[in-house]
Amino acid sequence: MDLKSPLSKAKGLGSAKSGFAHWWAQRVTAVALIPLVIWFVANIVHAIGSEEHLLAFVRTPFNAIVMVLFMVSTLYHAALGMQVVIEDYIHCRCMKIISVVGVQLVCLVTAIAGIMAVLALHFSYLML
Amino acid sequence: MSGKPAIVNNRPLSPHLSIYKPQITSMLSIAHRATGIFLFFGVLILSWWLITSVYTDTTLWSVFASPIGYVFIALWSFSLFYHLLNGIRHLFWDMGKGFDLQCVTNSGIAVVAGAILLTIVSWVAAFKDIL
Repeated sequence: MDLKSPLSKAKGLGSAKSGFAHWWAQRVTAVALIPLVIWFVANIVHAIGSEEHLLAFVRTPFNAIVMVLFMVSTLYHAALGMQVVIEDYIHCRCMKIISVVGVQLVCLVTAIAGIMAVLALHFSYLML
Repeated sequence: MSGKPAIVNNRPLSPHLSIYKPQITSMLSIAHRATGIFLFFGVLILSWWLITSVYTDTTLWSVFASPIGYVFIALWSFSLFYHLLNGIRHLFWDMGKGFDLQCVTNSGIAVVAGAILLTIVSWVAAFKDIL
């Protein structure tokens, strides 16, 4: 005999409810970050050896796009990770909520500003 | 529930950190969390350094060329490689592989050794124009 209601079966969530989405997003961003981090480190290492501005490698469309993907993936992964850390160590309910939302806000603002900076750099190199 | 409870709880707790022998499992696990936290703050610093250097004529570039800047970036790069390699180790666990104790120990040693190696290799490559 099945104790689950038809609605609960349609929703497909178990006792973790919406928590699975967090776990899954953390793993998806982690897998995405493996090639992205390798790409980032390789570019930075190469750029340090060259005479140009350190970030001139975002001149090419490929690099500009991947840099944006790198920033977004990193900050999303960081926000998810910090949420878990905050939930573990901060016990006061209102401070917990303020901290989690605060981290998400900081990551969002940094991501937007970072995307704008990468685009500004990319377009300025295209103009030259 | 929020804030402090009205009645203070003075009941004794079982000892934990004071009695447990540090092991490769627990030490690498907390290091994964610690490097994650440090990477988060580092990413904010590096991102805002990038953003401000694009939009202003600041001399923030020189901050990272200082001794403290080099130390910070060295620690950040080691954290990055450690968190990356240990993260891959975590992903294998998520697939259900590598749980037997010998494998956990060996993969743990490989992660630490790999992180040290990658840090050294990337710093040498950056400053010796190898790449």
